[in-house]
Amino acid sequence: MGTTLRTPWETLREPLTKRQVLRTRAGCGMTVWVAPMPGYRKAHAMITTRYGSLDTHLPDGTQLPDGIAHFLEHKMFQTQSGDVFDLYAARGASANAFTTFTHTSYLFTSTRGFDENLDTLLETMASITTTTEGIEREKGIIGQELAMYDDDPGWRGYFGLLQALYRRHPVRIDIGGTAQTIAPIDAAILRQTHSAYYSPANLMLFVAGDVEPAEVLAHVDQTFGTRVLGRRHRRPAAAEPARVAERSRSEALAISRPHVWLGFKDVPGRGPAGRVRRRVQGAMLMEILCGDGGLVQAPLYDEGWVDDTFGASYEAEHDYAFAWMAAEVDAVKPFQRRLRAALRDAAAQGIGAADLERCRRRFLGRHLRVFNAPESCVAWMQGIALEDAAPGALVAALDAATVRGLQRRLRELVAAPYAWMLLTPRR
Amino acid sequence: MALATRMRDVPVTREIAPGVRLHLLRTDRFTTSYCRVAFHRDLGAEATATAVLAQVLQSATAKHPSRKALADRLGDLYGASLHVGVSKLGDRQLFVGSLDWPTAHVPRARGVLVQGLRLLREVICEPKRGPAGGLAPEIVATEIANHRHALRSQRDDKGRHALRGCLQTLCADEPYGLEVQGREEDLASVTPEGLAALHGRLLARAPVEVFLVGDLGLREATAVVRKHLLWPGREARPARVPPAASVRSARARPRHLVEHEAITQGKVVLGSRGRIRADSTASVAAETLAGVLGGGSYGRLFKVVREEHGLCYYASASWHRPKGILLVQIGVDPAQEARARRMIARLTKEVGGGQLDPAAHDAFLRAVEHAVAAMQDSPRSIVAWYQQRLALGGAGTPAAVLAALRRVTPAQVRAVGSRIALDTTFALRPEEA
Repeated sequence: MGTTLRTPWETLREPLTKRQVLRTRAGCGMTVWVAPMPGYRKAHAMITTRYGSLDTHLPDGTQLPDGIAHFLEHKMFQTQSGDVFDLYAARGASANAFTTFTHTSYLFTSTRGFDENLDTLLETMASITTTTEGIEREKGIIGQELAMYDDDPGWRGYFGLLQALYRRHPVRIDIGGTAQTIAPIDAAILRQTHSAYYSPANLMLFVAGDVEPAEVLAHVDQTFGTRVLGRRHRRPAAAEPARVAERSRSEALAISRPHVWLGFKDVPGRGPAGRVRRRVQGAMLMEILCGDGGLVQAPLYDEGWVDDTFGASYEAEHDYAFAWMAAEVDAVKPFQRRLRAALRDAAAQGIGAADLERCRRRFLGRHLRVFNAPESCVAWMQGIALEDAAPGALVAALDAATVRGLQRRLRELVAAPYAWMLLTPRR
Repeated sequence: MALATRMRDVPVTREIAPGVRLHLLRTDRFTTSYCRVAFHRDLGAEATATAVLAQVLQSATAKHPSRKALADRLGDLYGASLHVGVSKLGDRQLFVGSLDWPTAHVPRARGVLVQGLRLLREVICEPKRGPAGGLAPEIVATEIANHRHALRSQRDDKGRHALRGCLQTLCADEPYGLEVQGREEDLASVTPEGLAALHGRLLARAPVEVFLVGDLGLREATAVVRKHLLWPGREARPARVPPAASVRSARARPRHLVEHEAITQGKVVLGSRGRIRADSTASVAAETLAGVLGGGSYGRLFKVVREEHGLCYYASASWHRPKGILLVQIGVDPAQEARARRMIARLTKEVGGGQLDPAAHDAFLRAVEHAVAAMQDSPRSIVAWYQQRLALGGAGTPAAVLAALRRVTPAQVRAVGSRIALDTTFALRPEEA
């Protein structure tokens, strides 16, 4: 049994717009974030557990089947009183859920009946109701979801690249698992997993809209009580060698022309602030190189190597970090040579002060858009919470970015271990 | 935080030049402004060229003569989001240029607003040209090649490929059957000079709707749009607004098309139709039919085909108002396709017979109610809805749409159900099946 605690709301201020965000820890241990948005008709709520596909074991060391986090997400919508979707739909609310590497989130958007919908969201987390028949039926539905992703070149390319980059880290495992790995899932393992990772102290609630923060907290107290239940899950770092698993992988798929993915295995930052800074630098670098008009994108586009399908991103958690770029191309090997050359050229040419300033402005513009909708505001708060960062972390990291620092990061990245993933048209 | 001004649920409209109407949604709630300029065209012989023109225009301008120069300018405007493209509104092709850019919490916000409008005009009206007066030939060549790739890659999205396959036969000799991005075989006739001529005709003659969302009143909006966005050279008598809606009965014997590919999940699209005019009461009943059948997770298809029997990951129905078409789409285990089809037929007959499951019907109405209320927070949703209303007629406000849906009776759904019949099915199956 936990101890009773009560803390007042902490007011956080976003530095760019000066908007206030409120945060507290409910008595049950759940972290609650509220962004008041007066005048908005929509309210958006999302509850997140720090449990995702990277959590391959129960805390007692029991190995979990690949895909169970996603499977559990599907089964959480079944309650004693029926399908949760029906309850939301009866009030006109739209609801959904998603599973990522690091967390699983459940959400709704409503324009009326916010209190009832919030109760439903909270109650959905409190317990799991499932039957053998329901589990077996779900395997059919998820099997079709996985089959859909099997035909999706974006998904196949992304996970193929991760399998090439990583030897052991669970980031290389498909979030949904496979039909084979989900086959042995039963009620007992679902209950154990829920018990381990869905305790209030491991949950975070985010709300944005024209809502009263105290009432939000009252609903949490009403559902979970005011005694701390469970504890926050801290994911241990997975051991992973610096070198890549394979320099190149390839798969044949029903596509019209080859898709080429290039990934660089990077080193994550240390501590919350260091991680944010390093992730923001990585993202800025990808924008400066591969964004529209970027140091790599512009010459490749002008020379006809790439079109609008060219894209790039940078992703990082506490124990892994990687950058990727991808394009649909005509000829694989010549493109690979040209892309590597363009990256070397960019590293040699260097990043200019104007490149940095434009990039900073682009990121600020994107950040400003966060406050145009409750959904994006909730996503922003969740990002901060998952990183244990401050609301001003992004703006601070943008301000702190320097040409010299980015230049150093670019040289590091170009020298980092890399891997290719090739999707080729199936003849 | 001060309470933000509530938006109207329909824009204020003013004609600012022959055939050019400005629609303003005033609001101080958002950190960005949004401007959308839509040119109305027939979806026909020039569809491909129009799609390529959009790509060419967003590649460079006379003042910013490279993709990089234009991208840099957008970056200077705090990552302004520029889009030039084509979309389908019934039998009509819309050529659209839009800009979404931060105009609050940035230095000299009013100036940034004006700069955004000027940049949008520059992109739409002042393209980079070649020595012979056509559009820049090197850009045209690049974008033709890119467009060819884009058309071929459409096949990679299996769900959309199946939908296209169904519509091409369902509306074989109608504009709606044409892919809005055009056809690969038409690319051979696209030239820099031809694109320049098409561009000139669009600017001079095409009917234009300008939507502006921002913190400014009608008088100021009219003045800044006239000064910074409107272009010279409009003809005194612009072209007629092309029709968007046309309806037909289903063919006497449905056509069943099958394609095979090296895929895992099967896709099936079923197209039914009837002579249900877009502006009729029957069309409102048809919306109800589609909503109850498969408008969301509350719909009968989701409940029965997915949840009860676990045959599909997705199963949905939608009503295409301009054409009086009901589309049902599923992603299905190939071994279960026949069973899923039987269920769809049974459920379509059930709902089309006026048997409206009370929970599904109620949830459908509440979902629409939610969507109408949520529009207040999304000017783009209001713009999209209003654009369709201008083209198709019907209820004057989103709230009136909801009221009309609430008045629909099971007898009206039964009546409309009896007028809709299966016309075309398209199945994409794995090669082994």
